[in-house]
Amino acid sequence: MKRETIVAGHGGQGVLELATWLAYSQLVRGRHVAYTPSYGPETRGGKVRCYVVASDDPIASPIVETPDLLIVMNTPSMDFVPSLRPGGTLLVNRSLVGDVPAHPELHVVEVPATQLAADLGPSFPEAGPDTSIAANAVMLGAVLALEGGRWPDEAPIVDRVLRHYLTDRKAALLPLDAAAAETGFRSIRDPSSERAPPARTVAA
Amino acid sequence: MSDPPEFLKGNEALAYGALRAGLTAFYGYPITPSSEIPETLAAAFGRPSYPRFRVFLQAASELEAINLAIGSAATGARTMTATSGPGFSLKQEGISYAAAMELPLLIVNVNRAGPGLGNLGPEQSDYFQATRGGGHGGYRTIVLAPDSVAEMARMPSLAFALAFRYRTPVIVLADAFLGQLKEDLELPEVAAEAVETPWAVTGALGRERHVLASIHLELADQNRHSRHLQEKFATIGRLEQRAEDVATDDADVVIVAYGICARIARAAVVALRDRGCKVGLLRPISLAPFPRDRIDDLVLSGVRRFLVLELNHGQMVDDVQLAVAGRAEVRSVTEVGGLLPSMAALGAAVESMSDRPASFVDAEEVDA
Repeated sequence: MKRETIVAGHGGQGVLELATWLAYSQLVRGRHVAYTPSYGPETRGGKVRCYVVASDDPIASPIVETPDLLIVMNTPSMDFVPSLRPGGTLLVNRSLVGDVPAHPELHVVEVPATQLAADLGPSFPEAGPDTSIAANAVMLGAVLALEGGRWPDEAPIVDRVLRHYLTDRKAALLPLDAAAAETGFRSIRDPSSERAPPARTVAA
Repeated sequence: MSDPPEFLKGNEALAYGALRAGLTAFYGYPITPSSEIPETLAAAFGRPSYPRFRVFLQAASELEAINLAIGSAATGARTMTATSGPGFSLKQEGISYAAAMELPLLIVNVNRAGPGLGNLGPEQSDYFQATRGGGHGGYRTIVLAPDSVAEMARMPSLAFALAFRYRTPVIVLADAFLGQLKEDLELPEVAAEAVETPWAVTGALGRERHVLASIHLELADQNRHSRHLQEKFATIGRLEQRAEDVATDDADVVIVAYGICARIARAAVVALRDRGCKVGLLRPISLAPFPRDRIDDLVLSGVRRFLVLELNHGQMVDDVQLAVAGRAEVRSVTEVGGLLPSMAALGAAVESMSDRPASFVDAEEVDA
């Protein structure tokens, strides 16, 4: 198994954090992982694009040119779509990007990640006035669902990843991010719910 | 689930590797993309697991850092400094002094794009500066080039061993990509063999004074010292060449690449071999001394095509040309400015040299 991912968005969306989480979720499954950050000099608002490679075998090159999975958190990052491998998956933050036209060679999945994270606000007053910052955790859950996992089987992976990274000052965000990851997972597949999941798979 | 392996940036791994190799003193001035080295060391300072780590000092400048490091190394302490690009230039005068005084000293340069301030992206444009002795006065150093986070962690141990064996500054030349890249790794065990340093300046009570100086005002003295240094560099050149071969046995084309370029080349070798193209990789681990004997072996075994991949306008290619000495075709493929060559560009270059052309990547898949 080898999977190459690009995560793209703007500074402040937790793109680097999401990419690190995705890498660590593969590391705890016993795989080799390589994570490459790339970002402009700004701490907020700059362009951010990271590579994540996960593989059962040692990784030759950590550079991702034709990803299997592209996660697009904002509209400018749609520029990366032509790099996707034919048959690859485009996971879009529909809250900021809007609807994406169907593509004959891509599996397009839209998740309203920013909205789903913001909607968690009333349940997590301690997380501050705007919980949309947990959009990256929504996408973490969505990726685990796209990988074919089941809920709650994947919950320990989420817990392990978040506990590894959300320490000290960030530990307060752990309940919010865990809930956001579950929401993201269930947005893709939720057999227990009678309502249609909020994710939209765009048919070609 | 068992404990996962470490998952660290290259810079962090190098810092832990240095600590596990018995680092005693670090002097530095932070500069992107190498700042995680002092950050990691500062955080580790005082931890019981590293009792030998006694000095962490953020200097006021790179000039101060290298000169503090010279004083520290003169006492026989395992001493390191780390920097990038502009900071490496500032340290050159000190490295010349350390070479002249025959001090074991580890200098890390995480190469960023240049010249001048350049940018924070990866380049290998400090190759000449590192391998030719970047300061004044005709000296050489040992230069080691890791190509993974795991090797970033292992390199300080080798660097210190060579630095003390030959009493010479050793440079670890990484690049911004490797410094920022995170990979899984097992950190090396804590192991620092005790090294005798009978030359060290440790206080002369009850014994003759040790004088470590780089000044030799008598012409004959300087002549003798300079010849002694050159003999040492020649010995190092004979004994300390290091390289890794990947699929070179039956290769028609051998890519020569180090650092992040070697990683791109590894992937290219796999992809091209899948398509029937006989290509291999020679990865210099010591850039100085350059592994010219390995190049010679490859030429003698029939390799007639070398492709040198590097992030500069062509520097290591000169060393390959010197080793090949006209006996094979040598082509240079380069990228600069913090950008990386694409697999497609490398594949096309190899393909155009190879005996057996291979269609490597369909043109429409290429995002060049």
